[in-house]
Amino acid sequence: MQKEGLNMVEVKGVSKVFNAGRPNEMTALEDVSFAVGEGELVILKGPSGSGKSTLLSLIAALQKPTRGEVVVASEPVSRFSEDFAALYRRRKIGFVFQKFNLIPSLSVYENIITPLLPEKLDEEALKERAQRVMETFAIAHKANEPARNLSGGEQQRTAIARALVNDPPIILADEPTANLDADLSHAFLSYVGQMKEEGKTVIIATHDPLFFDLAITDREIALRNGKMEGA
Amino acid sequence: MKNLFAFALGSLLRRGAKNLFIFVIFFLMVFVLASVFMVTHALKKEMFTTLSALPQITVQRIVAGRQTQIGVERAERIARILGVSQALPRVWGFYYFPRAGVNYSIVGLESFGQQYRADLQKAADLYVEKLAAEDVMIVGPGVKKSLAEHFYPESFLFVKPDGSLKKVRIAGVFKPQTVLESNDLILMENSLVREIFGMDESMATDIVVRVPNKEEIPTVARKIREIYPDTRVITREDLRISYQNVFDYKSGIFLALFIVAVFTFFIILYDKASGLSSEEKREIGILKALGWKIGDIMRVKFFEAAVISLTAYLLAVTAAVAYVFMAQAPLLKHLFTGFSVLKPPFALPFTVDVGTLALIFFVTVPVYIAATLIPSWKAATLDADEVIR
Repeated sequence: MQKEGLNMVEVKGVSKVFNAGRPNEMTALEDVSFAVGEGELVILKGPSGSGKSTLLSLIAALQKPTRGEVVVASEPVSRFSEDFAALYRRRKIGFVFQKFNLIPSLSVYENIITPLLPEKLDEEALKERAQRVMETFAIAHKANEPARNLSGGEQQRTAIARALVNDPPIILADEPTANLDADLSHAFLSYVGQMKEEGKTVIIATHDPLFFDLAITDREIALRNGKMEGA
Repeated sequence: MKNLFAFALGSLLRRGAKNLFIFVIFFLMVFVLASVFMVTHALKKEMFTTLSALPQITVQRIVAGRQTQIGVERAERIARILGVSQALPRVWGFYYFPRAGVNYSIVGLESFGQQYRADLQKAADLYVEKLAAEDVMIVGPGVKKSLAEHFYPESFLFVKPDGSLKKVRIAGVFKPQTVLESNDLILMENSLVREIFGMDESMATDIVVRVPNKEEIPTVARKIREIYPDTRVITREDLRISYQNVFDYKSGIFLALFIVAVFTFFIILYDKASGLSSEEKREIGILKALGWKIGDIMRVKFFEAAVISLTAYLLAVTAAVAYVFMAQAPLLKHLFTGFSVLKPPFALPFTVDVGTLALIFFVTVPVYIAATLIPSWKAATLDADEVIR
């Protein structure tokens, strides 16, 4: 059930077609509509190729829908210019990628502060914010370690710390346990619980059954071949 | 901005080997170009300063294709040509000093101790009490140094053609500012030069002609040739062209070097402009996904390119100044002036051609920055989603 109150994310009749008009045209999403309330945890589930990642990238304004609209906190993010979209991602979105997408040659600390660098923050403020999330996700002891040297679990915690360092109201996670073993996947679940407790709106795209029918989940949205199966 | 600059510096260090290679090529290219231009500019400046002080017309007598002595009576005849204000026979030549392995240029002047004292005082540090004496000379700094090194601090014993010795005392040393012209120079009385070289009173080395109206120089030169067909009449313009030709020829050698340097540089540019590595593209995608604007990414790329190119440029120009003017351009100077050991060494005067340095700057630094920014901009304008999937 959707919680009453403000809709944090609204996906309105969204379709996404790649290579439109070409022989390799592919419809990734077709007329998808749903809303996510503030502080909700929503699971986008479905097999590979069902359009989950595309939907997340549309919510993050990394792409624009072919049809329809994405509205976040009453702002039409799918109509944002490139620069507004970047600013929106920096201030509103924390993204945990499937492969974590850390910059391997940067240290844990440097990776974590990357989203903050375009902001006018002094070094003290950067350190303070990084320290807070590094301690929360138990990665402070690896602060100066290059990301390439990290284990899977450490990479995961660094990626989550980076997603949260700018204290965004929305967390998007794309197949966050795809590259993790069972223990680390369970650890991720506990982090998700933490985020929810902090009042974050969390949307996780996954086909990992670990996330299905969880008590902390507010809703599950199933996608298949780019269409919603139920909401 | 400070954070982005720090990030850019970090990026340069993270790709240290590749950036070091680019830095070295950039540095070498600017260093070679700047050094060559500084040497040629310094030499040209000196040569043309020297040229402007040369006589308008020099008359030499040629026998069997070689210069020989010319009769002083010809000066009187030349002086009567319309347009000529003065024709002076000169006595000068080269004296080989075997111990130092160098040639000195000995130039004679009539009554130089009295007549030219005022001019000489401007150009040389004179030992006035000695100037009035007989058998004295004023020497260039190079001559003074090499004589002192071979135990002739105050005078020198010239060996005359008949084997007898002639002691001549040093009465002054030319000032360092005139070093390019005066370094190997010995100035003394005409009669003394004749005695040392064994020349007859009626003969001179050449005749210099002064023509007040520059337009008349070619006509006067033609008339001298008509009167004395056995002479070679050299105008200042002939010398200028001759110097220019030597420079043009030697500059051609460096044009080849320049082409090699530029070729290497453009390979780097091509490599830069033809696209980023997948790692670099991915990094740009991640930054965009994390909320960096295209402008933020371009600022970082600009800082990276500017730091490499400006640092390499400034260091290379500084190194070129040190190499040319402090180290006196070993190897390079002699490629332009010749490797002869017979001429005493001279110092390249400090002169910086700002225009040329600006030209080198504009054909390297902005070009490199542009070649770095264009592919980065291409990658930054792609959907981040495409880059990081």
